[in-house]
Amino acid sequence: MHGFMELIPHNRDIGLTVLEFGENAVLAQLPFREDFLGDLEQRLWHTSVALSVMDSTCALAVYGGLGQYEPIATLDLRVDHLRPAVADQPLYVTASCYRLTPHIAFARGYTYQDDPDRPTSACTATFMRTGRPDADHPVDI
Amino acid sequence: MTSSSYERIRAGLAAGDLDVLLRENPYPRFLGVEIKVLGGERYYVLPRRDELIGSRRLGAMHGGVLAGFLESASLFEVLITQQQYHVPSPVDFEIDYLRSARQPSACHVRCEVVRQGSRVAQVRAECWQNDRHKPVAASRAVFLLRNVDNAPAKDSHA
Repeated sequence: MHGFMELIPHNRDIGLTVLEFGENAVLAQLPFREDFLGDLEQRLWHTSVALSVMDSTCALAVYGGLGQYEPIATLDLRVDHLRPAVADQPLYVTASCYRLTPHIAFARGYTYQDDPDRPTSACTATFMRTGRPDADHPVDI
Repeated sequence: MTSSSYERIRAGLAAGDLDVLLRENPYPRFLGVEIKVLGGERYYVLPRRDELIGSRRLGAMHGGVLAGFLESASLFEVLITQQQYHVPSPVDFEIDYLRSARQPSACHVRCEVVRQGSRVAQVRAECWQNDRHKPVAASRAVFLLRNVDNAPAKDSHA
């Protein structure tokens, strides 16, 4: 699964890589690029970049929880922007799948920069396990 | 550069130049977001690109990119409709995925500032591809307005 992000065209394009992958948690990293800025005046990461990496990393955490790959679809995603992420430092993303049912997977995650105890954003995401025989939600990943 | 980014945004918007937002916002520009006005309505458009694919199996747009597109568009909407001295700070964002955003169609977004107080603006956005009545995603976002204490008195719009 360390090459997982490479399989997703957009994640490969932005340079998101998996550092740790396990049943209980996953950790990914996104190196800084000028393209990721949202506020040129204060040189802050655009908060929308966090949305993108949270979605991918929460999905990966679901695969960790499942212990295997299976088709899943994001139903919804909520992100709280806790403090700004500053330019010239990478963004780390950690996520875990904290509840699995036969049809639904619940994941949560954080982004941070130099200190995991000072997250820049917090996220919860809900996925449908679309590989199940009676699943009907079309937004697979 | 003699002017600050905020000043360039303010001056551009005052002159009706919406593309100043893209020049001053690297990430939406990187995604390829466009701002269009058609029939008096403002739309945000994200054209198809292979680099935006999240599922190769389905050829579908990356869900996180879609979320970022809706949030970026919501922030632009606040900047355009509410004259802000500083760029507002995103507080939180929530998105429901309703249908798969299949390539090759572009994604379109319309935003509505549902409420604008003195401190926060709340924005709803909806995204569709070919059929406006079949949305692929809907979002809500909250932004903290930062112009209250910092704007020079001459910029007051009161």
